[in-house]
Amino acid sequence: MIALCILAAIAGFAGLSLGMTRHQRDVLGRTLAPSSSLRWRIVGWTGLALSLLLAVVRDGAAMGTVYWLGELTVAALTVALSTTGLGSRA
Amino acid sequence: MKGGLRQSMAFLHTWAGLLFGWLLLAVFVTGTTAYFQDEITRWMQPEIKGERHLVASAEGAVDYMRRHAQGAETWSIQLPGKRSVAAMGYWKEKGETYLQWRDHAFMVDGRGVRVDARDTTGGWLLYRMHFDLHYVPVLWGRWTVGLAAMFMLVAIVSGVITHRRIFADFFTLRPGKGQRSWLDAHNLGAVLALPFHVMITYTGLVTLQAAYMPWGIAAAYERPADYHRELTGIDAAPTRSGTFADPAPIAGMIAQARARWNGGDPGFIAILIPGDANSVVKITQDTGTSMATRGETLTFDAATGHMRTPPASRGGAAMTESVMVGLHAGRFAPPALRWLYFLSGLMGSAMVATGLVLWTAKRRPRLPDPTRPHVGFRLVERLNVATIAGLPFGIAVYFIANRLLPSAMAHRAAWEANWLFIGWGALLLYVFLRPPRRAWIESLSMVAAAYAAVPAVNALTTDRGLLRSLAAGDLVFAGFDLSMLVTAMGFAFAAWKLHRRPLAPVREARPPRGDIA
Repeated sequence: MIALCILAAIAGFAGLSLGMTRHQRDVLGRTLAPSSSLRWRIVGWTGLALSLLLAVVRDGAAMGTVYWLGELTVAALTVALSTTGLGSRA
Repeated sequence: MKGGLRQSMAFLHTWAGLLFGWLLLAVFVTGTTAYFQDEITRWMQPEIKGERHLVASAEGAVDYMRRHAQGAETWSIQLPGKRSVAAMGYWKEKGETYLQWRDHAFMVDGRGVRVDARDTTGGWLLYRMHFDLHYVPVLWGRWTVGLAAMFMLVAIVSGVITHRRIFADFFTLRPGKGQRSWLDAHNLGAVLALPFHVMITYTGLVTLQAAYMPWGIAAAYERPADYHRELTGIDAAPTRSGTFADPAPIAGMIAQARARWNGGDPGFIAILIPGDANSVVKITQDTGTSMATRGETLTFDAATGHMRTPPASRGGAAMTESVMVGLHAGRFAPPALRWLYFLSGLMGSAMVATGLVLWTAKRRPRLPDPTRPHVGFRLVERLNVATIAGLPFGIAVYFIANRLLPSAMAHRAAWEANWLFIGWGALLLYVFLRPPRRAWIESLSMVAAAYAAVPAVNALTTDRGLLRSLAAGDLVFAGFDLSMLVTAMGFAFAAWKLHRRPLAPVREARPPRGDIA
């Protein structure tokens, strides 16, 4: 369940980063049309919301939120490090 | 301040960060270890084995004190939490203060039998360093750390204002680009764990709020002691009757307490004027998995074992404070959450460390002559190495000293702590004697070697080496040794990266720009 939460958050942050022109250049080597960027951002926020929902269902509002914030850090770090890896390869 | 809000904030951020950076790094690093202080203590007392049995160890401790400390003022028992095995008992003789508790301390294992474990402060030392420092009076330590925490809050807020591309730069880390990379790493460490940094700094101040802002208490209470009594629910000490009465079995009182707490464990037992007919037993709840940190204390008549009227439930303000302190210390956290806390603590340490390095990385190209920096620059540069490598080195030396100092040595626990600072001081001296770049590479290598040595020394001096712990499925011992090896690899990697990196090209001096750091 914790792994699932982190996966959802990783998907969320990956979506958000693909919605940003700077990271589109890093990862894809080109920028996307504004409509596609918007779609990625929607994917991103949905992923983050889903991970919060999973955490709250699992551990309740108080404990779930504490877990979620820690899980967000792991997920964001994962996305940042892999974006760096992809960026330096491109 | 000229130049608008952002520039003013950048100035504030840079200098508040630098002035308190070294201290904050020590606070972050020792605080991060504190999430595993029970495990560290267990590793530092390899003589203690077996399983945890709360009632048996409480009975064993009472029994031991009945035989050895009849007539003492107080008997105290620190019961093992979920992550420990042994209970610690100690007593206070008439006229002594609680600071002398070490003179009458002993350990009992889960069978209730006294164990002669080596004298150590264990993970507790690092935990206390986190807010009390060391070698200085506790109050001074707390004021200093509190001031640093205050500036940390300032640094966080001013950092967020300064960092204008906070969302655009969210996932950006550009390695191998000197100053740019340090700035990226600093921002990444700060932003990705921002909720943790804000929470931990704010709640850190709350834990010692009575020390930092005593005026509220002074306004509402005639004596500060009244406030503490109301907060903790501990009332005045009983008076002696002079009549002897043997205390009722402790197991019965523990059972009553557990029934009231819906199965919750007791964490601490104090028996006041033991053996007297007026003797009182106080059992404080171990808050366990609850986020609130201050457990309820129940009072029993020792002679009969009857519970007195339980304290009234606490109000909103007291509960808020209790939860904030709990959130800070993370004692409630199950293993997975504990590791998340630990990771965030590491990110905080990395944030402070990269911030310190950034200060020099930013200024180096602008020096009039980068090969001959001015004295202030050189001091900052050296102190950075001496702290970022020096404190971790000292901690590794502390662990090694735990295994190498003779068991029967006088003031053994104090000497273990001294070795932490001897190690740290030695590295500091070394750093000031070497050229800065060599100092970085060599001291990072020494830190790596020291951490690699910890599991080796453990395997050579105890029967609980890494291979045996792995074979026995001992997660605490195996986890500790493996963490040491991972830390060693991390520092070795840093040393290797630095060794391979070509010297930064000397650039023309540029006029300063109003950017951060």
